[in-house]
Amino acid sequence: MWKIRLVLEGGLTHTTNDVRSGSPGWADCRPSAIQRIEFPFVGIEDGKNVKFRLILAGMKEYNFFVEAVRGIVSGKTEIKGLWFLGKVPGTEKVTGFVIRDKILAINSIAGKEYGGFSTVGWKPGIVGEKVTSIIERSM
Amino acid sequence: MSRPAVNFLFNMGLSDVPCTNPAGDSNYLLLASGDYLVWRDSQQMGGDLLSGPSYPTVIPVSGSIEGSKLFVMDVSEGTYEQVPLAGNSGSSGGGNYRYVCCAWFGGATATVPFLEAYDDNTHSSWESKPLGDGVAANSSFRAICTTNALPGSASWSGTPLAGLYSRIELDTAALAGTKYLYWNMRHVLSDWMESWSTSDWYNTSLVLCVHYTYS
Repeated sequence: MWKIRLVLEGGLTHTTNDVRSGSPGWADCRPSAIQRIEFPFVGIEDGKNVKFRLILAGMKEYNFFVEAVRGIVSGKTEIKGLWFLGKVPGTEKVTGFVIRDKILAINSIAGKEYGGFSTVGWKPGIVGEKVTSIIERSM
Repeated sequence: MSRPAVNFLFNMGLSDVPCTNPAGDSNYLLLASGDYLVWRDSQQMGGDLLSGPSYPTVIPVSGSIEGSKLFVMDVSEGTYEQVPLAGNSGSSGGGNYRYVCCAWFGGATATVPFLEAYDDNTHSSWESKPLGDGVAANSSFRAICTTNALPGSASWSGTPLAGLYSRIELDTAALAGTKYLYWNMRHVLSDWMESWSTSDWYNTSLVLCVHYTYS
């Protein structure tokens, strides 16, 4: 839980560190190509904990980052969101999700994906796979 | 690109010079736990004791004026420490100055960092009177990014700070590594603030923060 599972070229897998930690590990991994990324998490639906799984697949490139704020006076850092993004092959479109206290779907153009601003840290995907950007219930 | 350390420093000197040490130097004071930022009238002087008289800013009879002086309330020293270059030429000492307020980032980010203001430390709302009462343009706090250049004019105006949609970028792109980012800021007082309640004026929940990303 709270770790991203990368399915890589050739079926190998890689799991990141806990994304809530100060070192999520996305920036440190150097995959030759990502087939899909999966992120299991627990949400609240009708007052009950429900397991979900975020899946991005078939993207030209993938990105992940943690959004945080740090108070100038308090000096405390608070995580505000977890961003999962993919560039759709053959288009300038970026799709994906932001997990905050609610989940937001991202549909943007490349270079404007973060509230109108660009992001760095993209990693290569495998073009030709079925393009998928979903959040599903998991068992 | 682990979560970068972030330090906040304020130039206590009269020289418009960059910070040389993320822990503070002969000009820059590192904001410590328990310290506060406050604007005071021109009668307040750097070195005044926090336990002594305080001289609050004054609302103008008509129009708008700028809060005279920005101070760090240095709790560990028990004193007001002035940030003399803060604000524009309407303040006591401010003007076309670049190296005033500083955020030192200890590593890379995934996006450009922002400076923002919120009602409180949940960083989720910006509806209070000082932040514009729901109208960002009326926020009494204005800031301008000076990481890469001077404000450009001694009478610089700045961007009203109010939440997620009225904020300033502290650089032009995501940070590639360790970097000092700078801004100047001012506090605008207007005649219409006279209608505020005491609790609006003595709102101590307001927060300034940097909004950034890492992976």
